[in-house]
Amino acid sequence: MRKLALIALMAFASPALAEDVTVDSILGKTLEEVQASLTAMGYEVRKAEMEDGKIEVYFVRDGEMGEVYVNPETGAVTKLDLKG
Amino acid sequence: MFIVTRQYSGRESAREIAVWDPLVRLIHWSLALTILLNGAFLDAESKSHEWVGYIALALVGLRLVWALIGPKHARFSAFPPNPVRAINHIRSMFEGDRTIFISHNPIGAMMVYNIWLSVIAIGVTGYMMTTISFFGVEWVEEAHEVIFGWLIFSVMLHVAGVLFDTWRTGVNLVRAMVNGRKNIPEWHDVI
Repeated sequence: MRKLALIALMAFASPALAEDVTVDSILGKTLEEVQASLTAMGYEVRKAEMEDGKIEVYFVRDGEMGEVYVNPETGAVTKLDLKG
Repeated sequence: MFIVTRQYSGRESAREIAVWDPLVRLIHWSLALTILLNGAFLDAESKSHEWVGYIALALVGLRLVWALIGPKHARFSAFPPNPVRAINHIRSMFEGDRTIFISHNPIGAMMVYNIWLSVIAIGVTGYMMTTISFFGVEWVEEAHEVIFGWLIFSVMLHVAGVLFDTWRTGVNLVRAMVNGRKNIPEWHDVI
């Protein structure tokens, strides 16, 4: 339910469906929330885990791969690593 | 007394045999360096980690080609991958046989192939992690790490084996990999 609400919120807040993840994105405070946010943005989540107290998620979309680190206290991106 | 005398004369007239050509030595120490760099110094997420890994792969590739076209002692035929020979070698070693193999001895040969295959497997899984199909795929990452652990264990065994065989036969194997020459004490048979 919370996931749905979050997705609805994301959709509402950002009319463009293929929104990109940026260093300013707020993705969520738990593994599940961050995964849901990225999925809602059209990314395929490959792996999500806790790494040194941060949420780390591997994602791909349209031939692009990336890794994002999220601070679970603020839900904000702390590091974004996009590869080719 | 006679035996002691013979040993002394043997030591004095120890033969030096050129075994490892410059390319074999260069590849050996370069590969050791790439393993050290990637295992201990470079950030696993960095570009340099990737490049050093590809260099390691290229070194093994070059060595395999050299094992086909290189000098006699560097060739596959000088140290065939043969587990039966390795087991026989262990047995005859315990029976006191001190025959010296000019190239790798049969157990050393198995270690050589093990290390090369491990490096190839680590390189291939490492490359896979950079492709869209396998990026972030757990089993690939795990395989990369587990095989690396196996490689480090193998390298430790390799070093232990080199020290043991140097002690057992009197042939300084580390020196041989540096200057290419094996000092063969005279009382040994040589294959």
